[in-house]
Amino acid sequence: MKPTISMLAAVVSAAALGACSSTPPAEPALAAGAASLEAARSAGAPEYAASELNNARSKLEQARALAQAGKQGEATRMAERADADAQLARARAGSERSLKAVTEVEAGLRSLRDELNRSTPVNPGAAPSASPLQAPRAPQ
Amino acid sequence: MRNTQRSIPTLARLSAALSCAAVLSACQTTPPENADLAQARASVQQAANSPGVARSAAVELDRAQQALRRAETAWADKRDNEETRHLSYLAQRRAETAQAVAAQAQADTRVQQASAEGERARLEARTREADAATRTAQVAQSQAQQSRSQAQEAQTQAQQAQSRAQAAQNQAQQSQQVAEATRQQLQTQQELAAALERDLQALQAKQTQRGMVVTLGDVLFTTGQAILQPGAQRSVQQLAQVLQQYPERRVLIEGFTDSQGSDQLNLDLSQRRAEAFRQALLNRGVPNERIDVRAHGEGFPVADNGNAAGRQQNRRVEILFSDGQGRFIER
Repeated sequence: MKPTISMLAAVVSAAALGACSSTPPAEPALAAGAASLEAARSAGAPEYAASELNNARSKLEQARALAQAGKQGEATRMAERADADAQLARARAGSERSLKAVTEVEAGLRSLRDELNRSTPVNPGAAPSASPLQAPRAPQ
Repeated sequence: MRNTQRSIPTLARLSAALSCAAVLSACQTTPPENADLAQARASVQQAANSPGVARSAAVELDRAQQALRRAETAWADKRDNEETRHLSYLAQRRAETAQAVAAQAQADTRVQQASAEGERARLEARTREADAATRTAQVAQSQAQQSRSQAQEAQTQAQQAQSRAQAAQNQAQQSQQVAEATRQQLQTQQELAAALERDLQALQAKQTQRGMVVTLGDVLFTTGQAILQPGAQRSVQQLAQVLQQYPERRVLIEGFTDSQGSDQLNLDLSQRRAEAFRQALLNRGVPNERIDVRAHGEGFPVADNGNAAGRQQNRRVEILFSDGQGRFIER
């Protein structure tokens, strides 16, 4: 018998099989990360969540480099993290934009109240409680 | 074929695996802490506790919890440091994503609320402006009405004043006319009186305290009788003409005698002579109601009854003219 040769062949084939089964190609994860990155860009992340967006972009580049180097497993993980970063960037962009809108609309509301209170003629007969412009309730 | 070939080392690997499993199971009972996992657990827990996340970011939270479960498994079952770190990272990022999504939903809600508040404020302001405008219009309307009423009142007063002035003018004119008429009447009366006086001059009338008096002497009557002599007819005609010209005048015919004879005879004679003269005037067309007759007998002598000349003067008829109103001044 030639156990050494057969053993070697078995180890090689097992390694090949193992590589094939346990480390699938990183391509789908890279594609998903790239799509999330693009979505974050479109959602205004460059303006509102630049740090998160940079994180995602940097990780996606690393993932691509790892894939190029044949390290599919690491590339996949890096791409998944890039994807998570990109989704966070997109969500942060949305929340920051909405918070800015809140600031603007509340400022507008304040100036509107001021203007209306100024321009509305004071009716001496009206009870003070009749003032329709009460302070907005603070969000709980 | 591969199985037969690998049958020899299998035992050794099996024993190794068993010992390893024993170690693993020992570890599972008291797993050592993994810093990445702990951090991820805290983040996911925080997100799960946020009511906003449960409401608005359920999908993101679920994905974070899935990643966390996989990380827990990777650590608990395999002690796979790398995989645990990786999945913890994903779990943490997704928890943060869930928080951000919830924050955006909350902010969007606030924007909608604020916009609605602004709309409400504008609407109420417009309503108040409209109310104020309505009130202003009402005030203006009532003021205009008041002004109209005042103007009408003023006009009415002006008309009344004009009417009063007109009435006063009319009254003044009437007074003037009355005065003029009175003056003319007075002038007429004076002129009439003067004319009467002139006309009576022809009858040798005398102006006395009682008025104009014409005296017819004894010679115009038949002696001792009440018959007018033809010579008296001229005096009768003249008196009748005067009475015709002055219809407002009346005459009082008074008869007198001297003191010869009885009083009764004298009274009777003076009566008959006065009546005779009245009859003569009636014959000339003078109405009866313009003539009064009085007999005085030998009363009111104008001369001395002691001699013939005086007695002749006392035998007479006097015709007294009334004033303009037909009244006589009695003796």
